[in-house]
Amino acid sequence: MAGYALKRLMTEYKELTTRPPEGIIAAPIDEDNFFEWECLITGPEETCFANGVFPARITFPQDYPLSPPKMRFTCGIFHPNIYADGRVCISILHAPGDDPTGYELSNERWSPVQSIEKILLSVVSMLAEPNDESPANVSAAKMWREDRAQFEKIADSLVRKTLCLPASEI
Amino acid sequence: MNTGNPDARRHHQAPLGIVNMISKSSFPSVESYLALSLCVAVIASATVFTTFHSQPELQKLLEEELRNNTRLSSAYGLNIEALSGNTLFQIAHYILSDTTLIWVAINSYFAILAMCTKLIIKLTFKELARHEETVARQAFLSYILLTVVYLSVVTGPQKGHRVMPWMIWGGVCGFLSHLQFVTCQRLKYTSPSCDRGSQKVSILSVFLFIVSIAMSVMVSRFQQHLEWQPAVLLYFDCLLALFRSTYILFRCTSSSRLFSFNPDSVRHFNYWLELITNFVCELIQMFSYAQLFVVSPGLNLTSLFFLYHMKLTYNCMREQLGRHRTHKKIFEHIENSYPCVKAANSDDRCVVCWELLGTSRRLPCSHQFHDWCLMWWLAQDSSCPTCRCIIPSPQDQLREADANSTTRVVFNGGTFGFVHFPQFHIDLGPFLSSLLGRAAEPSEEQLQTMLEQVREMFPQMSTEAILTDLRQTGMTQTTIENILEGRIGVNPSLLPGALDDELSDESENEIEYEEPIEVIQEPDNGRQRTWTKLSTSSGDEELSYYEIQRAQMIETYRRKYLASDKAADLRAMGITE
Repeated sequence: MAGYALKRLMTEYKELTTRPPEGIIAAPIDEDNFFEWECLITGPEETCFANGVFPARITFPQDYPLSPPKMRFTCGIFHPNIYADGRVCISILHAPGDDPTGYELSNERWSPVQSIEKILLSVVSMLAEPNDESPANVSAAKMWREDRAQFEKIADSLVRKTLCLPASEI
Repeated sequence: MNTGNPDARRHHQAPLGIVNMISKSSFPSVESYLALSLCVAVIASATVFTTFHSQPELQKLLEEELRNNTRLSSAYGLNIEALSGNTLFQIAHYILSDTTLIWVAINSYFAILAMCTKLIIKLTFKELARHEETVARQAFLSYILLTVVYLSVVTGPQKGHRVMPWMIWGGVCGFLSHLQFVTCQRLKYTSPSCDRGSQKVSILSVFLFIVSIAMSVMVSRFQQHLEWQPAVLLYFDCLLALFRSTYILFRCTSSSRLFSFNPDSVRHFNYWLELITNFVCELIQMFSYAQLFVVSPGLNLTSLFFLYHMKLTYNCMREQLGRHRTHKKIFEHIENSYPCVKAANSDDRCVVCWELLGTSRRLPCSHQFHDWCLMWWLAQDSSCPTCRCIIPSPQDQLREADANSTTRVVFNGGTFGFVHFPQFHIDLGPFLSSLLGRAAEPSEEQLQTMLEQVREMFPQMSTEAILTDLRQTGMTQTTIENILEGRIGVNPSLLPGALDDELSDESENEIEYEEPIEVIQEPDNGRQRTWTKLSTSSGDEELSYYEIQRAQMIETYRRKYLASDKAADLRAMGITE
């Protein structure tokens, strides 16, 4: 419709390769199709996800940046704000019109100011500070509130798995 | 998770009409069709050649027959004497006199066209994205459906001999329109100075233009042999092809580097070009349906079919004009309310398109955007993209106007008078029903059927929630999408994994925390293996930038992890690197 999508995605890719942000990699899966990306984000330090390298997929709509992309983790991450199938639920990825949770202010939602880098940084901070007010994964939120030790154990076993290390014995 | 997303799988199961279903299934795929036609063609040509070799007298007979055929020489001015001796010509005549062989020949012709289309698309665009392929498939199947009905009208039972030329014509038109459709889809999201593969696209656009001109020239030369009705239909086809090719040609030129210095006026030009072309094409299509409606013998199902398509194109045109009016109002609002200012720094960029700002509009909050970027954003939201402060826009009153116009469309549908058709368009899936505008308010019975369909997929959803949404959307598919996107309440129990979690929640506490770990472990064995492989062969030249980075990243963080407190047990086991 508007016709910026491809140009902008190419610019973002160039930006990400020339000035890669710390702990984040993102690239189109196939250089002929700029609308499907794969990315890796690392768990924020001093959290239970620290040092984990989590793969995810981002799918862009044709009218990007007017509409938000969709992001989905492919490593089975267990987190209050990530659905069991990996879809990420954060306010900046919701289009201005819809509000699935009823908790968000419209100014927290998607705007063309966001970029792939900003989305990924937001996801990193979401990993560090889960929002259990409007959880996407209820049992994860419950565990996060009530049994933090178990939550951290699950997170740690995932971190080891993403690093190809043997699971802990305990 | 690697095996594909559950949303897609769920969509596959949704029974949403013939065209939709076929376009989503992999059968009939082009490859299988090509293979089948190749087999048939090989068998048929083998038969023809053995007949020619085993029966030398057949050649003489054919030569005689050709010589006596005066119609050919009188109508097309061909030199029959010379040609009748030619073996190729004899073979052609032999094929044309045998009904089965004619169909084999037509089929091979279609197969060749399909192969060419596939080849051209592959050469120009490499791989099509999945959604592009679905849309293209849908459009093509609709085209085939239309052509079949069209053939049944123009030929009719008494004029069977006319089928062949029409099929040949239909093949060329289908070939051309499919290529044009795919190219248009691609051009939609390319923008000025985006030179990715643009050279190939330009070559294709020139090719399409030449083919459509050749088609028009051919029609004008053969016009004298035709009656006026088929001639008009042919001219409509030619006009359509010409307009679309011209559009593609212009669009390619405007998107080339030549005009990249002035992106805003290119956007302006593209907008008007698209609007005018779409409108004109719809108009031509409507005329051609109208003509078919007039030509079709008596009032029967086919005439209803054409009437229905006339209404579709009419609605499409209306909708387009409505959208254009919205855009125009927003544009006027932008022009009247916000001053055009030069950017403070020459390297400031527009946050929407990330291109240099230059002279652009300044909002009251002092953020600057290109005219068109601002227009597209304001068409869906009424706040500043940068600071989210609410800016007065004509959006709200426009929404009201939109709502009014939709009700009017519904009213038209009501007076249309065909009982079966409202269901029919639901069947045709999002492509056509989106053209129809908002579907008519579904009746209580329809709602129940739709509810059952949705319940089949989501037994855990509450009936009221589904019904409420169905009343709003009027379409099963939209509701299903709403549920999948999580727009109907937050109900995490939609997800298979979460469902298990919740069940275990209620049963036993001990199992509760084991469950998620299992969810995590199951999908990833394959991935682990590839990663280990990659990290050992990170020096390999064939690996892409991303893969090298990934391997390095995992290496680094593994080392960091092993150095941390958490890895005490691993170090005890002797794993340090």
